[in-house]
This record gives sequence, structure tokens and C-alpha cells, in this order.
Amino acid sequence: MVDDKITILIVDDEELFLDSISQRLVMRGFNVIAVNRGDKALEAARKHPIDIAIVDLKMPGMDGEATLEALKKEHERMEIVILTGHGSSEAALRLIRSGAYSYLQKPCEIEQLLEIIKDVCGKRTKV
Amino acid sequence: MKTDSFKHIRRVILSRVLLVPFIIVMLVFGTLLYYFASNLRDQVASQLVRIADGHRNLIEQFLQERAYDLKFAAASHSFKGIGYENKLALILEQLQTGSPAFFDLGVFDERADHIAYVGPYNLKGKNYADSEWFKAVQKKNIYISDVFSGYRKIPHFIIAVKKEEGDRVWYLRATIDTLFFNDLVENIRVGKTGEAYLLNRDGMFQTRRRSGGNLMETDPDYGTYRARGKETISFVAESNLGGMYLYAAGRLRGTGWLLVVRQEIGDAYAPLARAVVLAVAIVIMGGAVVVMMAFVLATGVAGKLTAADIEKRQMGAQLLMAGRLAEVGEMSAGLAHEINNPLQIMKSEQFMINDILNEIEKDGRQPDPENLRLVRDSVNQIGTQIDRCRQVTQGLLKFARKSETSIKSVRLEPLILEVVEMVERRARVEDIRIVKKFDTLLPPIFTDPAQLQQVFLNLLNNAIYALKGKNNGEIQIAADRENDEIAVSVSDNGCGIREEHLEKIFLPFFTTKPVGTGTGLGLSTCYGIIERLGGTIAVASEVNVGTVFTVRMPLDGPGAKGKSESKYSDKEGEGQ
Repeated sequence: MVDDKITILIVDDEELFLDSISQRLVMRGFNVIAVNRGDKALEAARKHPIDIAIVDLKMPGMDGEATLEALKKEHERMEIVILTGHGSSEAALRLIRSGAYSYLQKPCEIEQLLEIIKDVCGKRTKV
Repeated sequence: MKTDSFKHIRRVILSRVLLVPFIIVMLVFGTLLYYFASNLRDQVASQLVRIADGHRNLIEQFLQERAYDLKFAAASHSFKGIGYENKLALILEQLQTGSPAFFDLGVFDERADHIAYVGPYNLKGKNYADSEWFKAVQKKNIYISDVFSGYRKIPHFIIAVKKEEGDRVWYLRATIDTLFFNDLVENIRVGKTGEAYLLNRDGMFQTRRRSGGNLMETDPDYGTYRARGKETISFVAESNLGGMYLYAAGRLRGTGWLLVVRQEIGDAYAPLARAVVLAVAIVIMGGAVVVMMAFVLATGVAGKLTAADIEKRQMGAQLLMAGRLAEVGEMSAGLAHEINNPLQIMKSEQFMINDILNEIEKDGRQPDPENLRLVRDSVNQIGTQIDRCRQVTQGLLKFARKSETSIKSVRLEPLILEVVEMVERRARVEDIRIVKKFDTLLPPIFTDPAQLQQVFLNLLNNAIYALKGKNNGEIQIAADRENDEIAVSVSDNGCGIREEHLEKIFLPFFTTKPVGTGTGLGLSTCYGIIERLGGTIAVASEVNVGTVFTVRMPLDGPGAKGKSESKYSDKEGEGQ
């Protein structure tokens, strides 16, 4: 891929959510890679340059926290947003410390998610 | 109920603490008292023997001295001199100076004629050749007679001596003052009823007996006196005149008289009786104090135990409640996840519809059929997700209803399947397979389905926890009939439980989970519920191989087979 589109990786075991959110993001002009497992996310990140990853916490196999850590380890510049239906403020704090860009609690407004993506893009252009 | 158990505990404590030692103490006391009493009795008897011995010596000495007095008087006078009565009176006076026991004095020639006499009776000239004493003194030189009446018709006894003066033989005879001698013999102090008296060989009184018995009468008890030898001996015998006596009896040398010292048994053993009464009184008082103390102690201990028991019951109920609350807490975290995911989907669907509607508004023309299809899909999707949420909230409501206890006929299979359904999603997230194996002919059982579901939910949650991060995780839930029980086992091939943890696993607040993760109430709650429902729960585990929890439930429900030892099986648990 040689275009200058922002590439978003979405990791969530809710496939219905993956479908509808990726459709919306594609419509808004993003490159979207949607996977339903942590290990698949790592695989995808190795193949494609990813700008932002939106990661669920509770997933079969490798969970969100492990995925976050693995992605950060391999791709230091990748920004990761945690989006989970199962969480607490302590977990949020811990994840931010582990390198997450932001922590969103399901259900969240899609606008809010877009805001964060925009934030990250702004940051990106400055770099 | 409480007071019954209180009384029961107190009775048990009293019997253990009081009765057993009391019996032992009583046996020891009885033995001691027996030895003490027999020892004291022997002492009393030997003391009486000592008194009798001393008294016998005194009487013997007295008689001997009087005989010697007389012998000396005879030796120091000639027949001629002593034949004058004024001379004889002088001699009597001299003898009486030595001992006032001499009453009169007489001189006899060899034919037993009374030659001279000084005394209050008119006995001079009488012949005594046929009298017993005269015959005896002719042979023995010195003779002390038994008490007899003689010419004077008054009971008395005499001492006679024989004097050989060249060819002539004469005799000196003195009467001993009966009153004086009586006083001498009687003069003994032993207790209140102690008395002493003399009997001749025929059992005839030689001195008066204070408690009845005059001179020369025969003692009706003579046959019972066992003293025949020289030793003074003691014995207890019943008098023919009534009453039990302690006796000491010994014979006097010379006369052969029997000195009897006797004392009424009650009087003789009075010190013994006093000692026994005192000892018994001490023991009774001591016993009363011990009983009182034991009673107070037992009441206190039983009270505390009962209170502890009540507290334990309350604690059990609280634990059950806390366990349930913990379950609710754990479950609601899971439920939040379950609800939030569909909500998130609805959000993004709503977002999409909004997008499409915006587009339609902007274009102001007939909507694109593709967009219309998308909107319809979205709306359908929202409906689906709403159903999903409803399912979750219904599960929650079901759980909330579980707090009410009700025993009914339940089929285990659908009950377990419902529980499995509750955790299936979580299991899938953790990559765990749940295998169900049910005996096809499981009969329904009488139990509380909601509480039983709570137990299985807990066991499944634990199994999932044990399989965290493990490949090929598998949970097997199986139900089989075993006689009149149904055994449900939940097994996993997870990390297993260490042996030292295994024994504590059903204890409240025991947990191996990290701080803040587990409450340590899950299994203790399960244990409480299963006990209450009349069943049993057991665990077997091997580290890194897996764990099996087996729940056995009676077909007939709680209370069947007299399983009333369960501490939770109180009224509310039964027959609703």
C-alpha cells in the first residue's frame, strides 16, 4: 500500500461489531483491517503498517492486554486504543501505563472513537 | 430448642466433670474411712484392755498386800498373846492403820473354834470346821475366799492365814470391808458408761455392778465372757439384759476372779462416731461446694458453648449470604461485559443509520436501494442485539430469584444445561470445551433447583479459572445415578489443586486466587448449600492433571435417610 491513508487495525471477538465498525471507518476514508483474535492482530501488524489499533480486552486465546504489550513491543510507534465492555478504572490505569493511547468503555459513541482517531492522526502529522 | 441444647450440654459437662471424679473420690473416701474406723476401733479396744490390766494389777496388789499384812501379824504374835481380845483389838487397829479395808479379825484354833474375835458381830465360840475357807486355809496357808454369807448372813469375803507354832496350829482371819473393796474395784472412769466388777469362777458377783447386779448374784452374761486364759482380752458382746457392750476381761492371780471392765458400745465408740460424722460432714460440705462450683462452671461453659453454637449458625447463614453476594458481584462483572458488547454493536449500527440518513437528507433525492438495505440490516441488527441483552437481563433476574429456597421435583439435566449456557460464552472466550455426559434415565430429584444451580455455576467458574491460559482446556460435566443418589461430577484438565490446599478448600475465605480476585467464599457456600440439601460434595485433584468435584444428591431430597446431622437443616430448609 502506497497511499497516505491512515490504517486502523480493529481487534475484537464480536464479529458483528467488527463488520459494522469497519464499514463505517472505511466510509470515512480509513484503511481498516479487522481481526477477531490477538495473534491474528500481531500477524496483520507484521504485514501492514498500522497507525492505530483498537483492541478489545476479553478475547479467546491472547487477551487484549497481552496483545497490547506484544504490539507495542514490535511496533513502538503504533498507537493503541483499548475498547472493552469489561473493565474498571484500575485496569484502565494499568493499560495506559503499559502504553495504551486511550481506554474506552463499551458502549461508546462512535464519534468519540473518531475523535480519538483524529487525535492520533494529528499527532502523527506533527511527528 | 436453644434451651434444650443448653441443658443437654450442661448435663454432659456435669456428668463428665462431676460424676466420674465424684465416684472415684467417694470410693477413696470410703476406703480411707473404713481403715480409719477399724484402726480407731482397735485403739478403743486396746485402750480398754490397758485400763483393765492396770485395774487388775491394782486389785491383785491390794489383796496380796492385805494377805501379807495378815501373815505378818500372825508371824509376829504367839497364839497365847493373840488369844486376848484386847491384844487382838490392838492388832486390828494396827492393821486398819495400814489399810482401812480390814473390817474384823478373828483367831481360830486347829479345831476351827473361834477363840477370839474383834468386830461388830458376835461370832466368838462358833466353830468353822465345815466352812469352805477353813478347809482351804488348812491346805494353802494363805487363803482369800469368795464372797459368802456365813454366820453373819451378810455377803463378805475373808482373808485367812495359817500359823504353825511348834506343835500348835492356829489361824488368823480378817474380813475385808465389802464397801471399801467395792469402792476400790468400782473406782474406774471409762467414758460415761464404763464400769468394772469382779466375778468368781461360777460367775457370781464379787463386787456390785453399777448397771445392775448385786453381790453373790450370778451374772447372766457370764457365759458370753470369752476370757479363759491369763491374758486380758477385749470383745464385743450383747448383754442378756439388753445392749451391746465392749468388754475387757482378765483373771486375777490367786483368787481366780474375773475382772470385767465394760462400756456401752455407743459410749465406747463415741470418738469414732464423732470422727466419722465429722469426716462425712466435711465430705458432704466439700461435695456440696464442688457440686455448686461444677454447676456454676457447667452453666457458664454450656452458656458459652450454646452462644458459640448460635453464633456459628448465624455465621453460617451470613457466610451463605456473603457467598451469594460474592457470586452476584462476580456475575455482574461478567454480565456487564455481556451487555456492553451488544450495546456497542447497537451504537455502531445507530451510527451507520445516522450516516445513511444524513446522506439521504443531503442528496434530497430518492434513497439509494443499497443504503435502504443497509438501514434495514442495521435496524434488524439492533433488534437482535436488544434480544441478546434481554436474554442476559433475564438470566440476571433468574439469579436474583434464587435467594428464595424451595424444594421441588427437579430434572437435573435441563438444570445443568442452563448453568452451562451461562458460562459457555466465557468458556469460549478462554478456548475451553465443555463436554456434557448425562445418564439417559436420570430420575427427577427433590431439591432446590436455584441453589443447586448456584453450586454448579460456581464449580464451572472454578474449572474455567483452573483452565485459564491452557491449551485444549476441557470441562466435563457428567450426571449418573448411584443407587438412591445422583452423582454430578465437574472435572477439568486444568492446573489441579495442591494437596495442602485440598483439605482447606471448603473453608470459608480460603482462596488461592490473587488478592482482590477471589473472595474465598464460593466453595464454602457450595458446601453449605449441598449439606443443607442433604447431599455431599467431594473433591479429588492432581496437580497439572486436573480436578474433579463430585456432588451427590439424594433422590428423596433433604431429610431423607435421617441426614439430619446437617447443621443447616433447620425448619426453613424442609418441606416447603
